[in-house]
Amino acid sequence: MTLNEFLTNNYALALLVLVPMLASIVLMLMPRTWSLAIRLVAVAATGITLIISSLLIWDYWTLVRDGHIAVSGAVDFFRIWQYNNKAVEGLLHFGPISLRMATDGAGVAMCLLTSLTIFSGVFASWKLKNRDKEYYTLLLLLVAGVFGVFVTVDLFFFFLFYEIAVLPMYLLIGIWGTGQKEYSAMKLTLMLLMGSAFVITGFLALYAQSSAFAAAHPQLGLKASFGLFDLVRASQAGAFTGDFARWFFLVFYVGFGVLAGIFPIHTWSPDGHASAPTATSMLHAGVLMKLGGFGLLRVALPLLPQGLHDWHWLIAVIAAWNIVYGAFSAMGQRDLKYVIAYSSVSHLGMVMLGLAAGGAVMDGHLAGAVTAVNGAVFQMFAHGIMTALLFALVGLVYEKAHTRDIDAMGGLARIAPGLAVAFTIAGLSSVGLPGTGGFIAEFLVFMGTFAAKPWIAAFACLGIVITSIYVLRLLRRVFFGKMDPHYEHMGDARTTEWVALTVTSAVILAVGIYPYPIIQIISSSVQPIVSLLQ
Amino acid sequence: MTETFSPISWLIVGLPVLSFLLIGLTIIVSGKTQRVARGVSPWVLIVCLLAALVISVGALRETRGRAEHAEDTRADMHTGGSFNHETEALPFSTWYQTSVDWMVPEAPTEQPETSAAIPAPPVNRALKVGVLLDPLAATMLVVVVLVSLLVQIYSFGYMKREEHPRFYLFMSLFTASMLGLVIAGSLLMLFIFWELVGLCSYLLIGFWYQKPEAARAAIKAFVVTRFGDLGLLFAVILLWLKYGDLSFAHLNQAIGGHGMSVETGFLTLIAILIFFGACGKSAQFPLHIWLPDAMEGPTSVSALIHAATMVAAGIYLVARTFFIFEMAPIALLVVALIGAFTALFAATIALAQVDMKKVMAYSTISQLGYMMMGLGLAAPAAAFFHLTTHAFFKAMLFLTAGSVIHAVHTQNIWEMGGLFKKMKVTAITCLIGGLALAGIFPLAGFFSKDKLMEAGLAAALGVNSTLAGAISPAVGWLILVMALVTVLMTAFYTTRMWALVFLGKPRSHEAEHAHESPPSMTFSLIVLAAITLVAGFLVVPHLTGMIAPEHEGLQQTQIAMITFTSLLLALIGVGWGYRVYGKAPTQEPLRKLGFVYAGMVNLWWVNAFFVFLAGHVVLALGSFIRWFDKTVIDGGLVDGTAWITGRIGHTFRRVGAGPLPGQLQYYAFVIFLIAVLVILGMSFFGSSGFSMGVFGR
Repeated sequence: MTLNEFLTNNYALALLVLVPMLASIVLMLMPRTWSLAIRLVAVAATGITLIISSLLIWDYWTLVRDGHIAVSGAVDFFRIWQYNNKAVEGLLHFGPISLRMATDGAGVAMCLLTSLTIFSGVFASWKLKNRDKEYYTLLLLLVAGVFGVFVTVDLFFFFLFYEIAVLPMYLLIGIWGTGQKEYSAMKLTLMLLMGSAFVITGFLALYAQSSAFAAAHPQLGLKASFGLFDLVRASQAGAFTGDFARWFFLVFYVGFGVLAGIFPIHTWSPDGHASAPTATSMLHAGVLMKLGGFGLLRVALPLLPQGLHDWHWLIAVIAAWNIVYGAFSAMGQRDLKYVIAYSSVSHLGMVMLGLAAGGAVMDGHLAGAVTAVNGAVFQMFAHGIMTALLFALVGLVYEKAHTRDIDAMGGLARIAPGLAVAFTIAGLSSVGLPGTGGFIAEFLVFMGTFAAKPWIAAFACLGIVITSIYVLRLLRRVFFGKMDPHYEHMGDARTTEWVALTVTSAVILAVGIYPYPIIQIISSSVQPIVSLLQ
Repeated sequence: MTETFSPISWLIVGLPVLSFLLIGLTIIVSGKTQRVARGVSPWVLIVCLLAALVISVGALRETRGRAEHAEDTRADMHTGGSFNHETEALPFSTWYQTSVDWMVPEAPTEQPETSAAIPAPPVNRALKVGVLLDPLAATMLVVVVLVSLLVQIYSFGYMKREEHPRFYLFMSLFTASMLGLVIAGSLLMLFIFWELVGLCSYLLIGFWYQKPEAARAAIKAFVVTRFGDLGLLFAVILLWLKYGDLSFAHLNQAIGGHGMSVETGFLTLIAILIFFGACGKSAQFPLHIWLPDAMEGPTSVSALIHAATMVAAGIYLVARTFFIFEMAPIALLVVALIGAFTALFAATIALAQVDMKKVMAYSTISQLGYMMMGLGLAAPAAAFFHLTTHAFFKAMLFLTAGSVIHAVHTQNIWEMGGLFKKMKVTAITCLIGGLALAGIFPLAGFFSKDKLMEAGLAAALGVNSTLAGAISPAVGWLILVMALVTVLMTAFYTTRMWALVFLGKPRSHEAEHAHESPPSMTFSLIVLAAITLVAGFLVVPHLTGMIAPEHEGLQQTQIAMITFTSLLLALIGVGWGYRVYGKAPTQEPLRKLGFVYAGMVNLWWVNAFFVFLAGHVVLALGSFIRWFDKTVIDGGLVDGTAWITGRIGHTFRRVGAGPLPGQLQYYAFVIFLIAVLVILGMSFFGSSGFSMGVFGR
């Protein structure tokens, strides 16, 4: 089997899910005293996923580059999936449910993000001492779920993986967390499960509606199924219109929106992130919160375009509010982790703003729509890497300085220049400075949103200024100024930790300096979705 | 004609980038002691800049060649016709330019609307980065590379050895970004480097990060300029949405040269937004508040970034996009008024400052105001001329200030005095720079300032056709008077500063024991002084002639009158300043001015207002929202919902706890109750679709 066959026949996608899952089982069977071996298994498993997802994205890029996947024009929604939609189909098959795996440009990018984040996460939490075996077991299980969401095209399995990704979080925070961890873990789980209740309701309704529609119109030859493609066909035939589209879009918005931290159901996120251990916060803020936006992009946008159009103004207003409100909240915090957590709330508003602007396409703003949705997906990627780096850094600072109180720190740049440099890079990406991924994302979102909703976009731009205030104040109070002699022996990042910092910083800069390939990849999957919205 | 340097002009940016990477690499590999990095880093940057200087001078020569060639061709084509090639700028296609796709945000499916007047946007609306080498850029490249090179040589002696690696690392990045801004072929690329120079400014103001004031000033500079950058960002986005291509050549083609018919309102908005961005970078009122604080950085940084190059980027931006401003009369009026006001306003503050670097900082703001005024008066060539001469003499002034501070370890001019005998080179170069700033013949500043005054007179007399409908003669006179008063004040405060520093008797222990600075520092001063002496009439005017044709329509006598007036005012200022401060008074004579003096010392309370706004209002809003989120949203809404849910569960459990103790029974009871309710409901409302749906037909 050549490498090409491996990639195109979907073994790659299946392995992305299976490798972490198997590693998690292997870890469970290992004695808890083998602490180095446990870490090596985790590194190996996440390293393999990193290699696979890098190969996938490279392969996808060659296809886009050579014109096999069109990135422009009115692209047929199904055409981009042909490239990898064969082998795993029907692996598990019962009734309308069938385990189908396929992915598109956005999914490939998200897989790369996930593997980068977990790979550096393993290195960033190398020093963990308490029950490390169980910790890595749960972490890898969680990652398997995340990969599953990104590569599956069956709504039943989508939901299954979605839950696998959410539930281990309860234990990860409750056992290994800090501060009021039981409260945070409970709050996070309950709020996310509320979201799941909305999502499963929506999925069941989609299935019920489409099967009723198929039964009523046998001449169309539609199948009653949880498969995404069958549902898209039903949607194109007119199964989901009018009130159904309107109200069930709202159901999805709330359901996925919990995970995406929309106002006012974002409050699980600061508490949860602040209490979670380092690698968990990295993974959660970096990847899991993206499942919200990704779910909307994968399910709600293609299936219920009318619903997006009905609500896009509301989504845009809430998103802009998220951006400004999150930035102000971050400015008011004293705990380092809370600042970063609220900055995530603010930045995820950018994702929602981009998706909302996509809904304006029906009003004739095609020019902006693709750009805005591209920006939203790019923001998922860029923010994921950036926030993973930030949480890794906060974890390291906490571990070395034994405090997260910003006012108690200062002048750490002298003693930990490496941490200071990495923090500056991540902070500048957060600020949206050119040369970092954050700039590209914000620029695309604002370019797209300006066409459709100039006033909302202008309001959201205020968030840029507030962000630069709180990020730079944070840098100043933690790393600059006079150093308390108390921190003299704190030390800089060490060998394994450097891996985490270097990998993520390099990616932030790389996508900021030359965004062309990744935008083309994302655009190849956004174009067909926006075409469905028209 | 074959060109050697233009095709490799990207190397002018590439070489400092290379220097940045090399220095960064040496810092990483040379370990804890940094011995290698300390020795190597200055030389890496200096050598790279020498090479860049060769390329940029070559590129300038070639650009000039192109201009002459184009003029000749055009003159041939129009011989005998009524075409006046003096008044029409050369087309963008004359200049060397390249571009590559940098990102493709989208590709529209349908061809956008087109009309005969506006060329259609290209179908592939890619965002490009590339090079544009017109006389404006080519001249600016030489200025930036030259000043940067001299500042780097100066810093070799000025900065401490252990600071060298980090300093030259940041300086490499700054020089690369500034040159990228200058050479940018598209507004997007300009914006990217515009932000990057802001970053470098932040890093270098906060260079001594252990000083709390420096760390604070760095944030202030970044946030204030970034607030201005929002304007530029909006302009970039709106232009992209409208024209689909941000390269200057395309924008110029789409906007310029179509008379007033092309949507003046839209262009006015764009011009004002761009100007807002320029206000932030070029410290125009009321966004000037960051620049004086920026003096917390090392003096060589102040000289390069906050006097010669980065702060001039706003002027460069407006000059670069002047084809938009030309179409927007209201924008021109705003630019001219804000510029003239800033010039006057900052000059009054400079009169009363006691910190040598602060005097120069306000003087820089004032001179930038002049340049802005020149742009607003539709004299971009004059403004750019002043930019170039100012870059040299102001950099020199700052470097002399650094030399003085190096010697006496204070910045307070009242603690200096009598340094003339001890630091001859510094004193004389500072005198040359000061007289150039005051606008005394035959120094560079005289010539460029004179052009600006001519532009003012042209506006006042209403002979500049571009300004028709923008600036009425009455407003023109107002602007001219403001500019002339500023000339007087500039000469006065420059003399005050020089006299207090170099004349009289030493007023502190350090001043008594001061020594001249090392040769690496004085070398740069002497070179800059030489440039200031000759640049005014030998080099620069030949270049600015290519940038914009002069069409002021003033008569020779009128030009002579205004030149005479402004020179006279400058001389009066110098003389008056010498009279008041030449004998080195021990107390500030300006105190007699009472309230006015209080205003000047307190910066007219503008800074205090913004500090209040940022320090109290914005931060308080942050604290309020933090409280609101914690208490109302989280405590009220979220925990409240949880509480209500809990109470409901509790109530049910009480019911369950009575007859049927235990969890399982409790659930069974609840399900039973619901089932009963459903069945009861169906039997009441029976017949309809609900029961059909659940139980089938």
